[in-house]
Amino acid sequence: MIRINLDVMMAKRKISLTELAEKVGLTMSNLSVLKTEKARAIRFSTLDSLCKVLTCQPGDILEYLPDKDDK
Amino acid sequence: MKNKNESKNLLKVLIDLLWYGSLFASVILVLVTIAFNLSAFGLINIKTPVVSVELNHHAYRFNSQYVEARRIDSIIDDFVDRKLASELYFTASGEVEAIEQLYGIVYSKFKSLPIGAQQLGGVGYRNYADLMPVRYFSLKEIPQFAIGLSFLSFTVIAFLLIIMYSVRGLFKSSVNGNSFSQENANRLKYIGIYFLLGEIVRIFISYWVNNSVTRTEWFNAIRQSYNPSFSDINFALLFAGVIFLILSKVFQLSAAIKEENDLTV
Repeated sequence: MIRINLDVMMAKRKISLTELAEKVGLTMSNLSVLKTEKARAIRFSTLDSLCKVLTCQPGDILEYLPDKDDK
Repeated sequence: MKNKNESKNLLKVLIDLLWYGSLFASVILVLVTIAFNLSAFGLINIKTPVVSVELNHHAYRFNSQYVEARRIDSIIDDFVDRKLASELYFTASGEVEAIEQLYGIVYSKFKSLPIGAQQLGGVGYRNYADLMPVRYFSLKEIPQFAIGLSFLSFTVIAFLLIIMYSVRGLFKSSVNGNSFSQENANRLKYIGIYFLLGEIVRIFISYWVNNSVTRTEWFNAIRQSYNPSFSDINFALLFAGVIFLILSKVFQLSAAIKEENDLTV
């Protein structure tokens, strides 16, 4: 599964949820969907603006964890 | 923006009105059916107005006690001796009470009119063709008629309840902008199933009712029977049922696509 480390980056850059949503251009509900890992997909445009605002790489936000039943 | 909200609310109120009206009509219909059955089998004695129903090439006029069954296609014309039948018609004594009740006339006055210009219930008949084949019976004589009619009224009640409830749900969700949901897919599925099953059951029930009535008709010593024909099957309803089932699958797929889209940030 893909883990979203958004809260880690937000703490590092010291930016709140509302401020991030405003700067990235997402609604609060969409951002919370992303943060609580309910999202099914993310658009490249969204990833682009997230990385721009948080000045980081996609790998800092997205992390791959192998599922328990994978060998 | 305010106008849009107002019109939305108006539509919602209208569709609710339609649903509650159908609920009310179903309750009334249930009571009427029960009262009709009680009266038909002689348990209570109530006077009801005369109702006409057309079922598979037969026109039935009935009140709570007697039925007039009249064949309305021309298939029988070639086989009936009209003069003989008209004599039978005018001299049938067991049916006096039925004729008097169903047409609200006094039979003795009726009999005295000249044969060529009979008045029946205020309508003049110009020739014998209007009069036959016709048969009067009391509801107790052929109980299948009352039972079959009750089944058909339950069909109407089921239609009102199932279809109106589903349409109400569909309408409200579409007014809110959430048409593509699994719930709506289920509603369409129920409508489709009801159309198919309801039509098939109706075909069998109306065939049964008509057969029970026509098996007892004797004309020129030819015992009539009712043959099922394709014109009694409402193919439009069967087709609509199939289409609704297909549509339900489409809505199911669209619900999945919508969810995927909604959860894409």
